[in-house]
Order: sequence, then C-alpha cells, then structure tokens
Amino acid sequence: MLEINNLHANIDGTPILKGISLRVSPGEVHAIMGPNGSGKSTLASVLAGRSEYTVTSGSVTFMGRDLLALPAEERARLGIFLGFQYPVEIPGVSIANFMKAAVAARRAAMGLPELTPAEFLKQMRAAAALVELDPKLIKRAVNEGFSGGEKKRNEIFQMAMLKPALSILDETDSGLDIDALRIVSQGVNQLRTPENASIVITHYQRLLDYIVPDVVHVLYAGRIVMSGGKELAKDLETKGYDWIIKSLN
Amino acid sequence: MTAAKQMEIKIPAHRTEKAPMVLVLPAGSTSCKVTAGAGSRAIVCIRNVNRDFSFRFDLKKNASLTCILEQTRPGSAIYRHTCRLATGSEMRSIAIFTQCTDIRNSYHIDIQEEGSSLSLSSLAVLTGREKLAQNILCRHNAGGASSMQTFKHLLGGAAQADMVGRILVPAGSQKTEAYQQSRSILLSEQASVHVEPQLEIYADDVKCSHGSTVGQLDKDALFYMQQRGISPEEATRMLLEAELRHELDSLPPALRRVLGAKVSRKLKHLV
Repeated sequence: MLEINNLHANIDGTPILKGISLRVSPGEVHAIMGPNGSGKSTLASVLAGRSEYTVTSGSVTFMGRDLLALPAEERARLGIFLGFQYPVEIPGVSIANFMKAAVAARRAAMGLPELTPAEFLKQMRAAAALVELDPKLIKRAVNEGFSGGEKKRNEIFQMAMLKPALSILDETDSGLDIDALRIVSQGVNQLRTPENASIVITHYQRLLDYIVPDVVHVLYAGRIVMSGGKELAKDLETKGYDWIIKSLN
Repeated sequence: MTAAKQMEIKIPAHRTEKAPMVLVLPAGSTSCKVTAGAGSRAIVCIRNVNRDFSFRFDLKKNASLTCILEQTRPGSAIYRHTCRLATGSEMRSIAIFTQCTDIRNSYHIDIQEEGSSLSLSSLAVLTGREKLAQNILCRHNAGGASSMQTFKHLLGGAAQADMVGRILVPAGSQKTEAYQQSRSILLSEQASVHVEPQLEIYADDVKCSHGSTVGQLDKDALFYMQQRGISPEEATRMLLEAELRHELDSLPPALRRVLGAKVSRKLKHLV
C-alpha cells in the first residue's frame, strides 16, 4: 500500500528526514516512536503533503501512485488521513459543512455517488457515537472552543466519516486522559479492516496497549534505526532510547 | 427638489412589524428618512439604486430598528447615514458592499440619550479595481449607552478599502461603552486597506476600544481542510464565507438566503 524509499526532507534548508525507508501493507498497524526532534511529525507532514517541507530525494508510492507528485487534497482523496497532533480551529465553518465538503470530495474520487442528506446525517451520527462525541458539537465550528479531548475525538470522528486507506495518527494520545484515550483507541480499532492500515506516531507505550501494532519502528535523527514487534515498545518504555542511541555510536 | 426625491417612512409608536419590510427606493430619489416611533420594532431592508443618497434614522424612546442596506447597482456612489438614538433605543445597521466601482460611505451617529445601543456592521467583498472609502463618526452625547462597530473587508485583485472611524465621548458621557473592530483579509499582493481608528475620549468612566487586523487566510486552516480532500479554492471560499458568517447568520432567514447567495457569488470572483 505504502512504500517509502530513502526519503530525505528539509524545512527551511535544515535536513530533518535523512533516509527513511518503510513499507506498510493493508491490514497492518505500524507504530513510530522516537525522542523529541527525531522527525516523527515531519514524516507525517511530508506524507500528508505539507508545503513547508521540501523533499530532496527518495520516493513514496501509495496504492501504486507517486504520492510526492500529488497536492495535499489529492493525497487525502486517495485515502491518506492525517490525525493532527494539534487539530486546527476553524471559526465560522461548522463540522457538518466541513465534513460534507470533505466526504463529497473523497467519494467523488472513489467513484461513489454523493450521499443523500439522510445518509450523510446517519453516517455522522454513527461516527459521533463511535467516539462518544456529543452530537451537538457537530453543529459547532470545527474545533472552536473544543477541549483537547474533544479535538482528538473529532479527528477520529472525521476518520470514521472519510474511511481512509491509510491513517497517520500523529500523537493522537497527547493531551488525552485515560478515559478519552480508551474511547479514541476503541474508535481506531473499530475502524480497522483487512484493507486499511495505520501509522501510529506516539511517545508512549500506553497507547500501544490499546492500539496493538504489528511493527514498532524507532526513529532517531531522521532515520529508522530499529524495527521490531510490539515488545520493542515495552523495552523503550522501561529502558528509554539511550541504549539504542549508544548502540548506534 | 420635489417631494418625491425625499422619501419618508414612519413606523408608528408601539408597532411591531413581524416581517422584514423591503424598501425599494425609486430612481431619482435623494434621501430617505426613517422614523421609528417610541417602542416600535422593525426590520427594514433598503434596496437603493441611487448614486448620491442620504439616509436619516431617527429612533424614538425604546424603539428597535434593524436596517440592512443592500446595494443593488454596481458603480460609483456616495452614501451618507445619520442616526439619532433616544433613550433605550436599539439600532442595528448592516451594510453589504459587493459591487463598488468607487463608493464613499459615511456614518454620522448621534447617541442622544442614555440606555441606547448601536450595532453597526459593514461587510465588503471587493475585487478588480473596486474601491470603498468609509468615514464614521460615532458621538456619544449621553452616557450609559453602547456602540459596537464591525468592519470586514475581503479584498482580492487590486481592490482598495479605506476606513476612518472616530468615536467621540464628550466629558460627562460616563458609563459609555464604545468598541470598534476592523478585520481585513488581503487575497492578493495588489489589494490594499487603510484603516484609521480614532478614539477621542473626555470622560473617565468609560469602556472603549478599537482593534484592527490585516492579514491573509490562516494557512494552517487551509492545510487542515486540504488534508481532508477539500480543494484550495473551495477551502478559501469556505474560510472567506466564515469571516462573514456571524453577521449573515444574524439576518432574518429570507434575507440571509438572498444576501448570502449574493456574497457567495462575489466570493467566487475572489478565489
């Protein structure tokens, strides 16, 4: 589904990603962990198509397409979903209108007919129920005045509405209390199918107790320096990153 | 000057007009006086084709008047608004400019008695070489009254908006609350805005402020929307509509539909 080969990327001339290679197949969950500043969020942003980053070399193929040649909105329509670490507030744009435009764009790209208003409403209610998002929030402006937990639930609500092929969840657990973490994780798990995949970026092993990964990667200084099974996350929780960094030196 | 050139509307005292009144000013008229009788309540939508026109609003005690000015003909024009507010009266004025070759629009507001309030909104969506110049004087001649002015400019092409807004609070007008906000979004390098807020305050127990922002659309919001599959053009249009949402949503439904559609059509020229 996703194949990243030797990806290098800069921001303002500063190299951040220094040769990332990663392969994600349908049905898989990959966790990416690593110390602050290692390039985790940059990788998410580059895959999503954020224009501030410049890819200097390497390639990314997604569902047979050259992902790096596509603008952000076409990547999204193709099925890339970024769960933002800091979801943006958009005053004056209701969640309902926002999702209507987003769902219409995604469905058109998939060759599906537009949803009727009744079907759309039904899907919104189901998606809100999945993450226990208060349905009243749907009428409000996107993320405006939402608590940290509500913003993260809103991200997974949008993921449920858009049914992406690949979800990249950038520190979805940050700012969540234990109950919200459980609800958000359950939502992600219920959206798992043999056809879709997820990349879960996190600092903490606790998220991976809920969203169990198939592979755990350690990102350090812009490279994946170690990959392993879910037990690697537990090792990182107890031993930190120092032992990996020392082994590199 | 013939009588027909000077229009006069009187809303009788204590009359409540449930439906918005649509007032189409005949071509060739030069002024319109609207008197809202004591305790009356009304919404007036004024459609004006005249290029040089004076509006006068006289609100008696406890009257409530919402006035929506809809410009219906493109071109150059000069509009003058004079408002007098008596005790307990509430004036809400919304002007929407979507086709301005060169428009000069002025407000002269006299808050004459205590307990009255004014809400003044001016929304401009301009592109090409359109120009809008606005001059506002809001004089709080009595204390214990409030005014809120909101100016929004969405500018593309080489459009230009100028706004000079003065709030005057004479000595003795204590407990005045007077605010002015201006927000301008520039969508091109050639578009320009000049905003000059002026507060002239001689009383010491007042709450007054002005704020002005000039900038571009929030890039993070644009990216967030694109990441959900929304095209940059659609995202821009949605964000621009959002800028005017608060004012448009406050209109009666029928007017909201008509004016909202008009604004949407114009926004397509900006994106």
